[in-house]
Amino acid sequence: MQNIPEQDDNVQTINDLNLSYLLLAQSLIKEDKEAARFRLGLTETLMESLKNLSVPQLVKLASTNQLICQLRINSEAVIDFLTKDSRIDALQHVHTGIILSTDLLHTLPTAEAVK
Amino acid sequence: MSEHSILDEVNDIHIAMDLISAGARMQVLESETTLSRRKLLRLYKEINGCSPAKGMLPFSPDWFMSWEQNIHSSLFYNIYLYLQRMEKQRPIITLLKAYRLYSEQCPCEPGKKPVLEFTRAWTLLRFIDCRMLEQVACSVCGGNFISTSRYTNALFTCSLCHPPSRASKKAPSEARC
Repeated sequence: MQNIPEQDDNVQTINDLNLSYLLLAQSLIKEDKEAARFRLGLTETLMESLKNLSVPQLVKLASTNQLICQLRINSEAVIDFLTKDSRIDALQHVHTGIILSTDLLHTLPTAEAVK
Repeated sequence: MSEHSILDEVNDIHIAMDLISAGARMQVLESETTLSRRKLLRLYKEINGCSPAKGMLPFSPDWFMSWEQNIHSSLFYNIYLYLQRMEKQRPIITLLKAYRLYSEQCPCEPGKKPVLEFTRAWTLLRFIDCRMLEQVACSVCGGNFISTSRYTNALFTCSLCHPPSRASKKAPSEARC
Protein backbone atom coordinates (compact mmCIF):
# COMPACT_ATOMS: atom_id res chain seq x y z
CA MET A 1 0.00 0.00 0.00
CA GLN A 2 2.86 2.34 0.76
CA ASN A 3 5.45 3.65 -1.69
CA ILE A 4 2.91 4.50 -4.30
CA PRO A 5 4.59 7.38 -6.09
CA GLU A 6 2.68 10.64 -6.16
CA GLN A 7 -0.42 9.12 -4.78
CA ASP A 8 -3.40 11.15 -5.77
CA ASP A 9 -5.20 13.01 -3.00
CA ASN A 10 -8.43 11.46 -4.12
CA VAL A 11 -7.04 7.98 -3.68
CA GLN A 12 -5.99 8.85 -0.14
CA THR A 13 -9.47 10.23 0.50
CA ILE A 14 -11.03 7.05 -0.84
CA ASN A 15 -8.81 4.91 1.38
CA ASP A 16 -9.76 7.01 4.40
CA LEU A 17 -13.42 6.93 3.56
CA ASN A 18 -13.32 3.16 3.05
CA LEU A 19 -11.71 2.63 6.40
CA SER A 20 -14.07 5.06 8.17
CA TYR A 21 -17.00 3.31 6.58
CA LEU A 22 -15.81 -0.13 7.64
CA LEU A 23 -15.05 1.00 11.18
CA LEU A 24 -18.41 2.71 11.48
CA ALA A 25 -20.20 -0.30 10.06
CA GLN A 26 -18.43 -2.57 12.51
CA SER A 27 -19.25 -0.47 15.54
CA LEU A 28 -22.89 -0.16 14.45
CA ILE A 29 -23.14 -3.92 14.00
CA LYS A 30 -21.61 -4.59 17.41
CA GLU A 31 -23.96 -2.12 19.06
CA ASP A 32 -27.25 -3.34 17.60
CA LYS A 33 -27.41 -5.67 14.64
CA GLU A 34 -30.97 -4.93 13.53
CA ALA A 35 -30.57 -1.17 13.76
CA ALA A 36 -27.24 -1.51 11.94
CA ARG A 37 -28.87 -3.39 9.10
CA PHE A 38 -31.47 -0.65 8.88
CA ARG A 39 -28.77 1.99 8.68
CA LEU A 40 -26.32 0.16 6.43
CA GLY A 41 -28.63 -1.85 4.20
CA LEU A 42 -26.29 -4.85 4.24
CA THR A 43 -27.27 -8.51 4.39
CA GLU A 44 -27.07 -10.40 7.63
CA THR A 45 -24.33 -12.77 6.50
CA LEU A 46 -22.23 -9.88 5.24
CA MET A 47 -22.63 -8.06 8.52
CA GLU A 48 -21.62 -11.16 10.42
CA SER A 49 -18.31 -11.41 8.54
CA LEU A 50 -17.62 -7.66 8.80
CA LYS A 51 -18.19 -7.83 12.52
CA ASN A 52 -15.40 -10.34 13.03
CA LEU A 53 -12.67 -8.60 11.05
CA SER A 54 -9.62 -7.25 12.86
CA VAL A 55 -8.43 -3.70 12.29
CA PRO A 56 -5.48 -4.84 10.07
CA GLN A 57 -7.99 -6.81 8.00
CA LEU A 58 -10.22 -3.74 7.69
CA VAL A 59 -7.22 -1.70 6.57
CA LYS A 60 -6.42 -4.35 4.00
CA LEU A 61 -9.97 -4.23 2.70
CA ALA A 62 -10.01 -0.43 2.63
CA SER A 63 -6.77 -0.03 0.69
CA THR A 64 -7.89 0.31 -2.87
CA ASN A 65 -8.43 3.15 -5.27
CA GLN A 66 -12.12 2.29 -5.53
CA LEU A 67 -14.87 2.98 -3.03
CA ILE A 68 -15.92 -0.07 -1.10
CA CYS A 69 -19.47 1.14 -0.35
CA GLN A 70 -22.08 1.89 -2.95
CA LEU A 71 -24.82 4.48 -3.29
CA ARG A 72 -28.05 2.89 -2.12
CA ILE A 73 -30.16 4.94 -4.50
CA ASN A 74 -29.50 3.60 -7.95
CA SER A 75 -31.97 5.47 -10.09
CA GLU A 76 -31.50 8.93 -11.48
CA ALA A 77 -35.24 9.55 -11.33
CA VAL A 78 -35.25 8.92 -7.58
CA ILE A 79 -32.25 11.20 -7.01
CA ASP A 80 -34.03 13.82 -9.05
CA PHE A 81 -37.23 13.87 -7.06
CA LEU A 82 -35.46 13.59 -3.73
CA THR A 83 -33.47 16.74 -4.44
CA LYS A 84 -35.66 18.95 -6.62
CA ASP A 85 -37.34 22.07 -5.23
CA SER A 86 -40.56 21.30 -3.49
CA ARG A 87 -43.15 23.22 -1.53
CA ILE A 88 -42.50 20.74 1.24
CA ASP A 89 -38.71 20.84 1.22
CA ALA A 90 -38.57 20.34 4.97
CA LEU A 91 -39.89 16.81 4.54
CA GLN A 92 -37.66 15.65 1.72
CA HIS A 93 -35.29 13.87 4.07
CA VAL A 94 -38.27 11.85 5.26
CA HIS A 95 -38.95 10.93 1.64
CA THR A 96 -35.37 9.67 1.33
CA GLY A 97 -35.95 7.64 4.48
CA ILE A 98 -39.15 6.16 3.07
CA ILE A 99 -37.50 5.18 -0.21
CA LEU A 100 -34.48 3.60 1.50
CA SER A 101 -36.58 1.70 4.03
CA THR A 102 -38.94 0.52 1.29
CA ASP A 103 -35.97 -0.81 -0.69
CA LEU A 104 -34.71 -2.50 2.45
CA LEU A 105 -38.07 -4.18 2.99
CA HIS A 106 -37.98 -5.48 -0.57
CA THR A 107 -34.67 -7.21 0.15
CA LEU A 108 -36.10 -9.22 3.04
CA PRO A 109 -37.00 -12.78 2.08
CA THR A 110 -40.33 -12.72 3.91
CA ALA A 111 -41.42 -9.43 2.39
CA GLU A 112 -44.99 -9.68 1.26
CA ALA A 113 -45.77 -7.91 -1.95
CA VAL A 114 -47.32 -4.51 -1.31
CA LYS A 115 -50.25 -3.78 -3.52
CA MET B 1 -51.05 -16.59 33.90
CA SER B 2 -51.81 -16.89 37.56
CA GLU B 3 -48.61 -15.61 39.08
CA HIS B 4 -45.98 -13.38 37.54
CA SER B 5 -42.36 -13.89 38.33
CA ILE B 6 -40.44 -11.00 39.80
CA LEU B 7 -38.18 -10.96 36.76
CA ASP B 8 -41.17 -10.57 34.47
CA GLU B 9 -42.37 -7.71 36.59
CA VAL B 10 -38.98 -5.99 36.56
CA ASN B 11 -38.92 -6.44 32.81
CA ASP B 12 -42.36 -4.89 32.50
CA ILE B 13 -41.34 -1.99 34.72
CA HIS B 14 -38.45 -1.29 32.37
CA ILE B 15 -40.76 -1.42 29.37
CA ALA B 16 -43.25 0.85 31.14
CA MET B 17 -40.47 3.33 31.91
CA ASP B 18 -39.38 3.39 28.28
CA LEU B 19 -42.99 3.81 27.19
CA ILE B 20 -43.61 6.67 29.60
CA SER B 21 -40.42 8.41 28.48
CA ALA B 22 -41.47 7.99 24.86
CA GLY B 23 -44.74 9.75 25.69
CA ALA B 24 -47.16 6.82 25.91
CA ARG B 25 -50.62 7.37 27.41
CA MET B 26 -52.06 5.21 30.19
CA GLN B 27 -54.11 3.09 27.81
CA VAL B 28 -50.92 2.00 26.05
CA LEU B 29 -49.20 1.18 29.33
CA GLU B 30 -52.16 -0.83 30.54
CA SER B 31 -52.50 -2.88 27.41
CA GLU B 32 -48.79 -3.54 26.87
CA THR B 33 -47.69 -4.46 30.38
CA THR B 34 -49.09 -6.68 33.11
CA LEU B 35 -48.48 -4.08 35.82
CA SER B 36 -51.41 -2.87 37.89
CA ARG B 37 -52.99 0.47 37.12
CA ARG B 38 -51.92 1.73 40.54
CA LYS B 39 -48.26 0.90 39.86
CA LEU B 40 -48.40 2.41 36.41
CA LEU B 41 -49.88 5.63 37.76
CA ARG B 42 -47.16 5.91 40.38
CA LEU B 43 -44.47 5.21 37.82
CA TYR B 44 -45.96 7.80 35.49
CA LYS B 45 -45.99 10.45 38.20
CA GLU B 46 -42.46 9.66 39.29
CA ILE B 47 -41.12 9.96 35.76
CA ASN B 48 -43.15 12.88 34.45
CA GLY B 49 -43.87 14.69 37.70
CA CYS B 50 -47.56 14.94 36.83
CA SER B 51 -50.63 12.78 36.40
CA PRO B 52 -51.31 11.27 32.99
CA ALA B 53 -53.84 12.88 30.67
CA LYS B 54 -57.34 11.53 31.12
CA GLY B 55 -59.83 10.77 28.43
CA MET B 56 -60.10 8.61 25.38
CA LEU B 57 -57.31 7.97 22.92
CA PRO B 58 -57.59 9.75 19.59
CA PHE B 59 -59.51 7.43 17.32
CA SER B 60 -59.41 8.44 13.71
CA PRO B 61 -57.79 6.57 10.85
CA ASP B 62 -58.33 9.70 8.75
CA TRP B 63 -55.74 11.52 10.85
CA PHE B 64 -53.08 9.40 9.17
CA MET B 65 -54.24 10.52 5.74
CA SER B 66 -53.52 14.24 5.97
CA TRP B 67 -50.39 14.83 4.02
CA GLU B 68 -47.85 15.63 6.71
CA GLN B 69 -49.06 13.02 9.17
CA ASN B 70 -49.14 10.50 6.33
CA ILE B 71 -45.50 11.10 5.45
CA HIS B 72 -44.38 10.73 9.04
CA SER B 73 -46.46 7.64 9.76
CA SER B 74 -45.34 6.01 6.52
CA LEU B 75 -41.69 6.32 7.49
CA PHE B 76 -42.42 5.06 10.98
CA TYR B 77 -44.37 2.06 9.69
CA ASN B 78 -41.65 1.09 7.21
CA ILE B 79 -39.14 1.03 10.03
CA TYR B 80 -41.50 -0.92 12.27
CA LEU B 81 -42.26 -3.48 9.56
CA TYR B 82 -38.60 -3.96 8.86
CA LEU B 83 -37.70 -4.52 12.52
CA GLN B 84 -40.68 -6.78 13.01
CA ARG B 85 -39.48 -9.03 10.20
CA MET B 86 -35.91 -8.99 11.39
CA GLU B 87 -36.25 -9.75 15.05
CA LYS B 88 -38.88 -11.80 16.72
CA GLN B 89 -39.36 -9.58 19.72
CA ARG B 90 -42.40 -8.64 21.76
CA PRO B 91 -44.27 -6.21 19.50
CA ILE B 92 -43.98 -3.44 22.07
CA ILE B 93 -40.17 -3.72 22.11
CA THR B 94 -40.13 -3.50 18.32
CA LEU B 95 -42.45 -0.51 18.48
CA LEU B 96 -40.20 1.30 20.95
CA LYS B 97 -37.14 0.68 18.82
CA ALA B 98 -38.90 1.68 15.61
CA TYR B 99 -40.13 4.85 17.26
CA ARG B 100 -36.60 5.65 18.40
CA LEU B 101 -35.22 5.21 14.87
CA TYR B 102 -38.09 7.28 13.48
CA SER B 103 -37.46 10.11 15.98
CA GLU B 104 -33.81 10.16 14.98
CA GLN B 105 -34.85 10.92 11.42
CA CYS B 106 -37.65 13.30 12.42
CA PRO B 107 -36.55 15.07 15.59
CA CYS B 108 -39.29 17.33 16.84
CA GLU B 109 -38.68 21.04 16.74
CA PRO B 110 -37.78 22.48 20.15
CA GLY B 111 -40.87 23.41 22.12
CA LYS B 112 -43.15 21.54 19.74
CA LYS B 113 -44.82 18.17 19.90
CA PRO B 114 -43.65 15.53 17.45
CA VAL B 115 -45.91 15.16 14.40
CA LEU B 116 -46.36 11.48 15.12
CA GLU B 117 -46.58 11.04 18.86
CA PHE B 118 -45.86 7.68 20.41
CA THR B 119 -49.47 6.90 21.23
CA ARG B 120 -50.44 7.74 17.65
CA ALA B 121 -47.79 5.35 16.38
CA TRP B 122 -49.29 2.70 18.65
CA THR B 123 -52.82 3.33 17.37
CA LEU B 124 -51.51 3.21 13.79
CA LEU B 125 -50.44 -0.39 14.37
CA ARG B 126 -53.90 -1.21 15.77
CA PHE B 127 -55.57 0.31 12.69
CA ILE B 128 -53.32 -1.70 10.41
CA ASP B 129 -54.00 -4.89 12.41
CA CYS B 130 -57.71 -4.51 11.87
CA ARG B 131 -57.20 -3.53 8.22
CA MET B 132 -58.61 -0.03 8.51
CA LEU B 133 -55.31 1.20 7.12
CA GLU B 134 -52.82 -0.51 4.88
CA GLN B 135 -49.60 0.05 3.01
CA VAL B 136 -49.52 0.91 -0.69
CA ALA B 137 -46.69 1.70 -3.05
CA CYS B 138 -46.56 5.17 -4.59
CA SER B 139 -46.91 4.83 -8.36
CA VAL B 140 -44.25 7.48 -8.94
CA CYS B 141 -41.44 6.94 -6.42
CA GLY B 142 -42.24 3.36 -5.41
CA GLY B 143 -42.02 4.12 -1.67
CA ASN B 144 -44.42 2.42 0.73
CA PHE B 145 -47.07 4.70 2.20
CA ILE B 146 -49.98 4.35 4.59
CA SER B 147 -53.36 4.50 2.92
CA THR B 148 -56.96 3.70 3.75
CA SER B 149 -58.45 0.75 1.98
CA ARG B 150 -60.97 2.93 0.19
CA TYR B 151 -58.27 4.73 -1.77
CA THR B 152 -56.30 1.72 -2.82
CA ASN B 153 -58.24 0.89 -5.97
CA ALA B 154 -57.08 4.05 -7.67
CA LEU B 155 -53.43 4.50 -8.61
CA PHE B 156 -51.79 5.96 -5.52
CA THR B 157 -49.38 8.89 -5.64
CA CYS B 158 -47.76 10.02 -2.40
CA SER B 159 -47.95 13.59 -1.19
CA LEU B 160 -44.18 13.95 -1.49
CA CYS B 161 -44.30 13.29 -5.23
CA HIS B 162 -47.40 15.46 -5.59
CA PRO B 163 -47.84 17.74 -2.61
CA PRO B 164 -51.47 18.81 -2.21
CA SER B 165 -52.00 22.42 -3.28
CA ARG B 166 -52.39 23.74 0.26
CA ALA B 167 -49.28 21.96 1.54
CA SER B 168 -46.23 24.00 2.35
CA LYS B 169 -43.35 23.20 4.63
CA LYS B 170 -40.03 24.84 4.01
CA ALA B 171 -36.89 24.11 5.97
CA PRO B 172 -36.49 26.55 8.87
CA SER B 173 -33.99 29.30 8.13
CA GLU B 174 -31.68 28.38 11.00
CA ALA B 175 -30.94 25.21 9.09
CA ARG B 176 -31.41 22.13 11.20
CA CYS B 177 -32.79 19.35 9.11
